[in-house]
Amino acid sequence: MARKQPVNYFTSIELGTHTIKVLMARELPREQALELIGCGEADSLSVVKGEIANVTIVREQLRQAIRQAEAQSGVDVRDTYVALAISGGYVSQRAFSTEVAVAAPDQTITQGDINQAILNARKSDLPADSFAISTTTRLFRLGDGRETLTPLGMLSDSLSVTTLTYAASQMRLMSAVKCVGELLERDLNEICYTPLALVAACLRPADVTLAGQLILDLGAGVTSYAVLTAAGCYTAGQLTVGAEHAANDLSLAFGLPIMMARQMLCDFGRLDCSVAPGRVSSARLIELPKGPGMARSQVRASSVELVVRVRLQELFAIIRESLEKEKALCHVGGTVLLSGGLSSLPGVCELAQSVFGMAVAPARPHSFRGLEQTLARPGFVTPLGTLQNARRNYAIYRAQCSEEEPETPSLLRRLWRFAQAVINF
Amino acid sequence: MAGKGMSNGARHSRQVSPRAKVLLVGLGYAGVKVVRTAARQFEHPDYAFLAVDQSPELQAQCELPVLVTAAGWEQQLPELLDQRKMLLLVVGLGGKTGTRAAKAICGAVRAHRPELPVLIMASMPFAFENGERRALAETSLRELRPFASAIIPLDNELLFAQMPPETNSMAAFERADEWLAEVAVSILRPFACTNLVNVKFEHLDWLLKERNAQCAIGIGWGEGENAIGDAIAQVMESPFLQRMASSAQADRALAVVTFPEESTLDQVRGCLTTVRSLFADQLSLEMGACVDASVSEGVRIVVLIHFPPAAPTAKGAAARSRHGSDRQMMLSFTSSITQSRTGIFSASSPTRYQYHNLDIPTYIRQNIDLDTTT
Repeated sequence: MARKQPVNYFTSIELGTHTIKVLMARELPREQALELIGCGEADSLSVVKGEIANVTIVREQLRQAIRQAEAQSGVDVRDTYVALAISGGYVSQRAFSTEVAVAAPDQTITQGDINQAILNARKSDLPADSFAISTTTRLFRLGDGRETLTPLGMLSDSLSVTTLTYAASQMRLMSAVKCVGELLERDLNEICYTPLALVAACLRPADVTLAGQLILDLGAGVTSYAVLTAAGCYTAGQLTVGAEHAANDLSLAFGLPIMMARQMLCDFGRLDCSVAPGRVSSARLIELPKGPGMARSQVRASSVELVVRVRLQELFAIIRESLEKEKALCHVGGTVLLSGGLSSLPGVCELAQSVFGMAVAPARPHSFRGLEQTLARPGFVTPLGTLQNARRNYAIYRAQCSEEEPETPSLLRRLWRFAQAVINF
Repeated sequence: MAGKGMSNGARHSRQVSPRAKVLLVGLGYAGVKVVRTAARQFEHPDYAFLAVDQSPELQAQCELPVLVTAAGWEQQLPELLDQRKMLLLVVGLGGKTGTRAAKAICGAVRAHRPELPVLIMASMPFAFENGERRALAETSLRELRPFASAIIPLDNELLFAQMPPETNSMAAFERADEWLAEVAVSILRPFACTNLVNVKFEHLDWLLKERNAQCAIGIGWGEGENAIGDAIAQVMESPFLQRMASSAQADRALAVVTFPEESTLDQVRGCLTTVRSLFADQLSLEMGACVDASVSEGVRIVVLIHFPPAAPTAKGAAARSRHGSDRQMMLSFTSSITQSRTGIFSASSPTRYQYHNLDIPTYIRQNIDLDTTT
């Protein structure tokens, strides 16, 4: 159960497909930042496409990661505000629109009108078996049909808002929540949808004042994406395709054991391979380690590159198409930011640039101190964002509470979250 | 279900139409049941139905033309075969009537119309039936093989394995008959529909021209937003397709997609591209598309896969050679083979985008030639 004490320690947990990660951080209120104090990572042996396949195995791997993080930080995870990053094909996006009449006699839209429209949209019903993880604001529409991201101060007789609710299948979500909760012997404080964690990690409202930003996280089992605009998160989503697919493609193409294919992907740079478009590796051969069941001892570098390149090219093209369908891409004026383990693959930025037609750069988390090596790893952006999201939500909650010593919110106490929808990045 | 969207036809006259291009014959008790069900589902002037059994009582009970296997009955066969473009026999193996009648009809084909393609749909007995019956069925299957252009063995055991264990036994048998009827109609129906692309009898002929071969069939039906994806998934889960494809190597296949009238060009093109991508490059594939007025808001996919005889004849080898490749060809289809194409994801829910299973490597779906030589 949640403990009655003020919180300035936060923990984020990501049950990833490649590794299970635990990060612990201390709040630095003056700097409005977090200091990383503990990091734990364990191989993920039974998570497929972001979902737990075997609870017992995952719990044991998580126990190891938690022990590492606690040993480094000297803090018991159970004494912190714990947030769990959620991924997988069981989370879907639903759009809701509501309209309110503008209250002011001169029909100037105020923050109150905006808040009221958002709150009304949040009341929309979800299917009984769905659980709303988060709600974000997509855009506003004025009475005459004009669309805007920033309606404050504009004149209109009415204001409608479109919000996006990210809802998960309850049973599948609870499998992950229960797995972590039982290990910690307490309730989680919050869950965070991975694409929104990316936004929290790498984008600040100031970054998107002029132009929207797209962030892509290329994970092992899931690729997440989000577009942040001045109104909030315009869209966010996931595709259950990731580095594991690229490894699987290599395994099937060359008859390699999957472990060797994974290793080949990890060693892509060392093998002088690249997925950059137009790359020609001619007839260069890559030597394979000898082992049982190995049908061959060499593979063509050009074929290895081709297998991975077409997979990533397709992945980017699908995301681009999805964003175009949602009319999200036209709001992206800045750089496309890449994170996730696969983003360090040689040539991936050039490949993404060719598909999206925009500049591409590695994502850099903001407002963190400490554990620089961890901060520099692209695979840790999601747990870092989950920490950032937790800090922000707890700050909102704290501001809402009048008690001197607020109780740490448990996952089930969701009412306080209305503030999140109002402020919404 | 694969059979959704099929209209019920009227009762047939008691005479076999001499103009019908395709004759569908039910042999013995089981075969007649299936053909009667098929006739209720499907009516078209190009198709005729015939019931063949030893029991004279059938004439009184059956709405179809009936041929009783009394002495001299074979003499009527040449006339029945005249002008036909294809013969489809449905027989339940394990008894004597069906097998004997099938052999007689195939013999008549050899004697009078040797060029006529003969496709035999043979249902096999259940495991719980006595071993003798099962052994007899296996023997009959071997005996019939040289007579037919192709045999589609339909193992009831596989079909029942798809049903929930609590299924009522009577309902299960009825369902089996319906399913076999659907298989028969699904093979024939596209050839009676409005042809969009490449749906011709010649393609069935091409698929079946080599005697002593086996065929596997998969049928899928989908409707709604993900109609094509659902139809493909059903095809891949077809029990008869799985068993066959896992035990042999195919050399050619015929895939026919039936669309509703309101389908757009983009939908047709997208669907055909997706279905094509399911097959390995080496497989000689004919694809067809047709429009069926009785199909509403859905898509039906029928896949027939041909497995060459164990010891191919010189003629068969030449035929394969003409269709692209002389080496042994791998079929990349059905769940067992999908496993070899989805690798570590074979046990997880597939990731789908539009009609594509993204767990299958991109280079395979995009038909990219990969230089795997060293």
